[in-house]
Amino acid sequence: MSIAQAGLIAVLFSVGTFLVLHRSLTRIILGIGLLGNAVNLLILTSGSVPDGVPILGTGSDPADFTDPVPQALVLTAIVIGLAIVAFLLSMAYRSWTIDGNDVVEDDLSDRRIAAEPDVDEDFGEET
Amino acid sequence: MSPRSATPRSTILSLTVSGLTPVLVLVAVFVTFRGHNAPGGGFAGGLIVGIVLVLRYLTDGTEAVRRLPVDPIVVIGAGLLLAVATGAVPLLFGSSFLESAIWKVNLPLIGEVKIVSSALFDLGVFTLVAGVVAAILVALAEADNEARRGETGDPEDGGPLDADPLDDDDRAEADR
Amino acid sequence: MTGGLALFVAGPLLGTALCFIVARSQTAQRVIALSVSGAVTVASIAVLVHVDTVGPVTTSMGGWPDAISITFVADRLGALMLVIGNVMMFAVLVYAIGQGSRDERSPWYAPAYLALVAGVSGAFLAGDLFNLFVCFEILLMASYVLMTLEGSDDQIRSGTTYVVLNVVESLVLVTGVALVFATTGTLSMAELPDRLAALPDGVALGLSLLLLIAFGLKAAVFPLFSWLPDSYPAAPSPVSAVFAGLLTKVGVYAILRTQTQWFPDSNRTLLLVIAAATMVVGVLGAIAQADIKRILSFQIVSSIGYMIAGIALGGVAAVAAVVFYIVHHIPVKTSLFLVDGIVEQDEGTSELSRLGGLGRRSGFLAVLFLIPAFSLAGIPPFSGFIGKLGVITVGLDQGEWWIVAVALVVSILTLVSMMKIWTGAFWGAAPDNRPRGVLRHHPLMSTMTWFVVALTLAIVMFAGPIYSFAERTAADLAVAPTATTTVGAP
Repeated sequence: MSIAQAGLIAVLFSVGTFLVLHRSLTRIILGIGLLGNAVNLLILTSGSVPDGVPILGTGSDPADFTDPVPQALVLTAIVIGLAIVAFLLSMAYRSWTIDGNDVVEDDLSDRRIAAEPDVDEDFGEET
Repeated sequence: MSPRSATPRSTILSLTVSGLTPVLVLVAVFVTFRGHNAPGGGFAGGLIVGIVLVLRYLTDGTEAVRRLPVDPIVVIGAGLLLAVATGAVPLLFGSSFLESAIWKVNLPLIGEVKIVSSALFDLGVFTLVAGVVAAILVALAEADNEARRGETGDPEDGGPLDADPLDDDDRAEADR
Repeated sequence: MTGGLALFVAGPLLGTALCFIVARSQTAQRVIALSVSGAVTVASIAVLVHVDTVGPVTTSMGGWPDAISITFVADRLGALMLVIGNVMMFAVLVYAIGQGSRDERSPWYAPAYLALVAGVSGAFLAGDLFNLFVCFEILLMASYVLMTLEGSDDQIRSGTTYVVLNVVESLVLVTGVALVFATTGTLSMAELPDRLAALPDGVALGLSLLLLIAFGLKAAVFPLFSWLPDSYPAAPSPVSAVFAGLLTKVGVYAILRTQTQWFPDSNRTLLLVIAAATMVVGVLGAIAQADIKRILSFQIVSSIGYMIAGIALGGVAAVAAVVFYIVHHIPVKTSLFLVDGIVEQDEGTSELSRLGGLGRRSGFLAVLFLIPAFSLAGIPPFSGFIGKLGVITVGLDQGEWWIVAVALVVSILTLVSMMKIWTGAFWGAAPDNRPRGVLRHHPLMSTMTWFVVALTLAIVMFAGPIYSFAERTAADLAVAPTATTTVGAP
């Protein structure tokens, strides 16, 4: 792994994490996209010789070969990433058609329970 | 937001897209079949067809998907069926799942042609991905029509919206 | 038949495809879904018998050598989970068809459900780490669809939390996969234990924690559980039943494999603390809630704590107890949600304040609720007792008295939370002038609930053989990596 690759992965990871921590679903989706790219690059570097080529099509020294397995993994991960982003976008769109924004909201029922001081009393009465 | 058919559209874009459509489809098929030994494959090809559909959607609005000859769900199913069945058929001959058979045929004029059973798999993926994009557009168009009809939309229509990406994932599993 | 195991994924996916093609006919979709799910269930039982009597089965795909191909492996643990998972999914499918709720009538339901079957089966059979990840993705994607199929406001809101957190989990997992591959050069579950053991301690610790975070999020352990009680109640009852029974257990299954086989004897204290916190927080959450589904959801979290405790304690006896506990917990939790589904079908709500007197209206339903409820709390004659006893005995043997104390207190609190549902929904008088008749529901719903409850009773009756099977499973896990590559096909 070269420094440039490592730096790029680090930047993508940090920017992605920053975006995922937002409340707006659109930013979360962008963050997930960036994180996905970061992970894909990480997979790609995991078995590779920098500048090396996969086995097929060359007659050069085996030490220069790049392991082709990570490339297959990345291919799969990209496809999965596409499916997930598409799904999330459709959710954001749905959320937008329902209430005009794409903010990820709190668990309302949980809030209600927390705000209700007399939950235990209810329970006491009934037993 | 998807374009409303009431809004005026760009004539230049319209003409370019209608001219480009056959070329892009050809490119998609080329990319799909070249994928056996070179970058490309059913997924990339299917996405190119998807781009064509999106472009048509941009130029023609919801009309573009209303004219679709088949229900995208069926296209998705056919693609998935072709892909998984190609994987499963070798089991009948005692080989392992997804194992590929290779035949070499001599055709007059063209010469030797290598036919690989995994090309069928790619074709299935191609169909599947194109179908998924079409299904997404149909869902968008439905939501769009609904929004234009007023606020009476039944929340039940959420189904098609979110369900589409599922199939990309199925193929992801098989694509490795 | 060299490709047998691949059919557990390919079969349901073929079913998915057929369901899409016949999308216009709901009857056809139902027939396909039922027959595929039924066939997979029967086949999984055959695999279990074969694995127990003959030995592990390995299937490689694409005709490549084992080391570089996608592999499916059925060992005792995988086959056992496969059977119990598929039986549950089949029962819930029948139940859902009987209920015929709005989301079940969507043309996307049957395909998504079959994709879930494919994903769950694949996850239990995955023979390499990346394959496990892909199967996780299939089942997660199917679960996203099932969870939000109605597209209502509530579903989208809680579904967003569910999807985003699970996507983050997937990203953490695939990061772990990348790093495991970078450090060991393999992803095969059979080879990883040796390769990981050769790594420096710090690296191995980092990898184990990364995988623990990923699988822990899926299993809903203590700091990472908050998505579960938020999202499960929003899904329709049959869907949340199958999620509650199975999906968290897929995470536990992965933790069980990774922590016992790949990183043995590490993270013990951490896991014990996580287990205790998970148990306590889960059960306290359950007591605080006022809605059947939410109480049940928090109880899932609490039960996960018991499983993690057993995994943390380690050793054959503890792992055997965990395996038994998982086997018991899946039908128990599923049946509780199925009972809730019947209640909701008739009353239109699962909020305790709007329910009451159901016991008088349907004694059967009350019994159907009480059996798994007692079982979950660990009352002696029921199945939960045996699993908990196993974990607690090992805890005492190893001198970890505090985790035993926590487990016992949590058991009592679980019973308290169950009694909260009992008093709120089944006891007392109906809150307003509700109809007094028998609960209206489709007969398939109660039949399937009976079936699942009977299954939990069967687990008690055959506790001896099941427990000894669990012990053999644990011995497999302790001794050798799964299915060495030499094992041939059936």
